[in-house]
Amino acid sequence: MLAASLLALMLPRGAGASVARAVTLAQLVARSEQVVVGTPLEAHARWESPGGQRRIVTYTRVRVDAAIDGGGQSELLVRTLGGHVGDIGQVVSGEAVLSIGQPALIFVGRSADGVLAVTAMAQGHFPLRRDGHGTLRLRPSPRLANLVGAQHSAVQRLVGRSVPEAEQLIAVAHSHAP
Amino acid sequence: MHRDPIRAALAALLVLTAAGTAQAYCRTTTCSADDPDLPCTLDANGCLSGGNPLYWSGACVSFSVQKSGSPLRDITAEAADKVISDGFSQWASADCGSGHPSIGLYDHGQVSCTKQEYNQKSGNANIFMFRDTRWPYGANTSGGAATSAETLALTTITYNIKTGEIYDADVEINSHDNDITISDKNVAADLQSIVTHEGGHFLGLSHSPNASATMYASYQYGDTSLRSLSQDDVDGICAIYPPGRDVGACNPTPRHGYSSTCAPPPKSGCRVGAPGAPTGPRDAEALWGVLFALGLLARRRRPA
Repeated sequence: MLAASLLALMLPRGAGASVARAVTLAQLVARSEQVVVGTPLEAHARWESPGGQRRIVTYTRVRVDAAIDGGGQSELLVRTLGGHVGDIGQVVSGEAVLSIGQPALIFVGRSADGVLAVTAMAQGHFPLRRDGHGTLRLRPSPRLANLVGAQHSAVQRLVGRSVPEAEQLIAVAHSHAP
Repeated sequence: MHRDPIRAALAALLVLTAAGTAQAYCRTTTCSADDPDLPCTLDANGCLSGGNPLYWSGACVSFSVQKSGSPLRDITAEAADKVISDGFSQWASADCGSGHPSIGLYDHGQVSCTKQEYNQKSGNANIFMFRDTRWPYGANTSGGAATSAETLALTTITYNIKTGEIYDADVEINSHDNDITISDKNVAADLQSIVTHEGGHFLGLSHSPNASATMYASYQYGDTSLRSLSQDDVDGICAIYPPGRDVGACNPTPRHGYSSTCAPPPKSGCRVGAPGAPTGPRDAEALWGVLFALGLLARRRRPA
């Protein structure tokens, strides 16, 4: 526990800007249509009005490298809030940042208008980085929100895990889902 | 007020392991993971960096409060305004040694607009607004996945990607899904802690790796400690707005003028060339195909 807390403290904090209740792994799994290891290939930002709020959104085409839970498509089209259009940029608090070429474990679900989005924003996005032994391990999303109740969160449970370890935890969470 | 002792102990350990690091605070920058010309990198301090840091260019910046307040949480706009003003005053009155930060906050009062928006051809306002009836980025009403209903507050900052100058900032508070409180008793999600933290983002700061900072990325229900700033927060705001910055007199007018009302919705038109949300995943996928066909993706670039 101490090690996990210390690990969390030592992880980078990004440019996020929100406050959010931490979601548990069970909640994250239950609310996601698919969980994948994917690599963002290309992205395009545009002005749009999700939820009636006119803002910049970014559509990212994600190659599915491995389907962890649900799905089966080879590619996904995922919308995130924020991005650059012309000379205008928007940064949106606590949103996932799908970096091109950066593989990640991603939980995705449908937003109210039916478009795929990262579940719980940055809390459902875990970039993968190799450790000193070459093992891919989950990292927190760079613009993770200020989390309320982080000690029981999916972030706390998953960050630092290898993909097989995370897959096992997700499978257990799925089996206990209502 | 209280600080979590375990968090503080771990923070002290972190300080030991990070000995030699001169700063802890992080500034928000123009970097964007999806923009190949402005990629985000992690600096030695653990901050996302790349591009230019964000800042307000004038001597002051205005803010407004949506006039409905939060009837659901029994918070009037007047009460919210006071809490927000108190939060901002923490930042404006920070002790930079040789003076206070060279940024003033101007209260534009209440506005009727209920939308997060930045208008490129009409007036604007930097609005704090409550979402009592629904969280616009939340659950699928048909019973599917929720996307962000757990969010307590969401700040959207609009900026010039070439300079980092902030054009607009809006803060949406999710009072529909969260017990937002303003009292010193029976504190749940403390509005003043939330808006003081969001105020740091509003002014250009990002999350700090310093666990004692208001800009640290963790909060516990009932905690009011984020209402006041730590030295790390002070260092951050003083770095963005050092005393004596040559910025002239205060002009709190938002970019393109002040407007207390929302802009009219854009006229519908061409689905690809003009703004207009896809109505569903098939629309989004169709749009994607068209964009590919036009070769827009391969040339995704800032104009000169």
